[in-house]
Amino acid sequence: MRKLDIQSGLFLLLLSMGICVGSLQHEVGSLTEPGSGFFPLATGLVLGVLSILILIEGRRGSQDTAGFWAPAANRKGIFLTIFFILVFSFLLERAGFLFTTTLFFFLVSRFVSGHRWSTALFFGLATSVATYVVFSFLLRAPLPVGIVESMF
Amino acid sequence: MGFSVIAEPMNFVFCFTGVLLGTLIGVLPGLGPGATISLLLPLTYHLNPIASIIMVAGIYYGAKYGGSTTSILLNIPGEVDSVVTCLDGYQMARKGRAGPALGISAFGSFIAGTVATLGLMLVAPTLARFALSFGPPEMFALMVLAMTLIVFMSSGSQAKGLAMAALGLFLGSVGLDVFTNVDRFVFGYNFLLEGLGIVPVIVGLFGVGEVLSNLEVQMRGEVFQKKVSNLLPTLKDWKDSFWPIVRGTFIGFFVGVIPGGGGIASTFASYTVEKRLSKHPEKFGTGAIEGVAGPEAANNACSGANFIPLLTLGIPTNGIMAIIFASLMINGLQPGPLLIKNQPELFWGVIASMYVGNVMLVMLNLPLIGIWVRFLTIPYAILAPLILFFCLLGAYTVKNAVPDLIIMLIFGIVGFLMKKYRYEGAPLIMGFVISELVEGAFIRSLLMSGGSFTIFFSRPISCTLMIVSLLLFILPLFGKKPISMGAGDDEG
Repeated sequence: MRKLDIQSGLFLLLLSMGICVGSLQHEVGSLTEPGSGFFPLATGLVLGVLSILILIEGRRGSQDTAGFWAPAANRKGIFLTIFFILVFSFLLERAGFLFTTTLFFFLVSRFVSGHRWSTALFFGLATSVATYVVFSFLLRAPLPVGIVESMF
Repeated sequence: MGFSVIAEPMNFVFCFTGVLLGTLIGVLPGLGPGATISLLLPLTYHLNPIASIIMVAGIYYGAKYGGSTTSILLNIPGEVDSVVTCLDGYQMARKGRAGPALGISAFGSFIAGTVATLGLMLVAPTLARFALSFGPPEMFALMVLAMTLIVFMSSGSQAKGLAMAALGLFLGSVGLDVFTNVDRFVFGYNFLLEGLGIVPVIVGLFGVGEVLSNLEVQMRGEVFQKKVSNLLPTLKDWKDSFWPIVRGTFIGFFVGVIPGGGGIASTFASYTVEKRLSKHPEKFGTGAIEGVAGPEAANNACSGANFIPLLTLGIPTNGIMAIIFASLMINGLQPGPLLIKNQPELFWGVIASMYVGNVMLVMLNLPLIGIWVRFLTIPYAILAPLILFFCLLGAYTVKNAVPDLIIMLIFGIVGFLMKKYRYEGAPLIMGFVISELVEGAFIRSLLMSGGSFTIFFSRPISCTLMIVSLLLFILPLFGKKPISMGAGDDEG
């Protein structure tokens, strides 16, 4: 865990510095009259001390036996999933719920889970329509409207 | 009062839904109670508070029942607390005794769950009355102790756990400061004024993070006994299991009351005790029924006892309790000493639902075992898109805001990285959900004392709690931790 601990320890140290600098932009106040930056500064300082402890632990730790990725890791699946979530977030309020959900389900089922084109499309359509009915008609929760929804 | 609450058709239905979902997700490897409750958090917005908490509680203890099924039949714990059940449960299945293993697991869980609910009913009101005398210094010291205990009893590095708790406290302070009405760390984004939403953070960390981790390595397992019969344990099985169930119940209950005392701690403790007391310790690991009965009882007693600190002191004892804490907050309820006084219907309703839920679980788990076995064969390739979709839907529908989807994605990646770098999610979530309470208690204590930290050491209760916290922090510096139990690893 040596390398991984040092990497994460350094990241947390930088983050704690960022928190402390950000807190100092606010009024820190005093112990008798704490300001809005007081508590975040305290958490930043504690995080800083602990990240140094993590770095020390990392320096003392044994050499890594495994790397960041597991053997034969499905990296493509992970990156595609993150990308598809971004696509979903971008399209949801622009293209409407039904189209975006069908597309998202289709993309994940086809390219991450490896289902056939037809199965992926069926999954996408079935799930988006079923969810739309439950949320719009049963729970009466508003969902983003696009071209498809405006036809109902 | 509690039984009249659970007798209402809506509450009864949600109790059943909770235990059914709990059993289902306990059975499905790769989807833990933490992820499921997170996914359902947005739904609780649309339900009345009592029904939603009854359902969420049902998912929690239902998952404990279901988790043992995969441990016994598949040698993969459906949720992490059932890992000990793999040791002897799977060996029993290999010998064709999956039925009695599942049977004693369900009956043991029922007995322990019912006794723990009785304990909750007796202990909680007294503890809540005592906690009413707590001022800000005592509350602050108690929350510090709770966080230290969670970290102390979890597996892995103490520094990493505490760092996550500190990070959680910071993340909880993002948004409008309740004391000064000044915005903090919002960087001009108005959607951050209300703070990082509980739902997107939790759904990201536990739901999306879990899916990304599972996608990396596909899980495979062999169902050893697809057709399970003879679920009723024999007289000899009962004789061998009686005392392990009794001891497991007490161990689970007492471990569960302690903040940080996760189910896995109680199951390991029970297994160790049974092995030590057994006349044939060599049989453990080869299919001894005591090795299933004790830990399963401990696990379920623990889940009931976990509610005591939450409902009486407002302290979540593990990651899932932190999520349940969040769901109470979402419903406008403040967990703590006043909950029983102000919301008696909720408190007694949840307790009564646990009695009813335990009966439902036995009825669901034993006669329907054939159906649960079929669920074991659902490939993750089908589950993953569904889970992801419900994560997205859950995060979005709380406020109908796209930024929440981005927050969820960021915390999903954070959750994935935390697993890779061996950081636990429980302390982070715990710090995040109690951040406002910790800050409030801390600032009020300083105002009370005129800026002196001695206030935490000059009052007997807070002084005792602070000294225990300090000892727990210092102890590991002088050697190995006495126990390492993964209290926070409850995402399953």
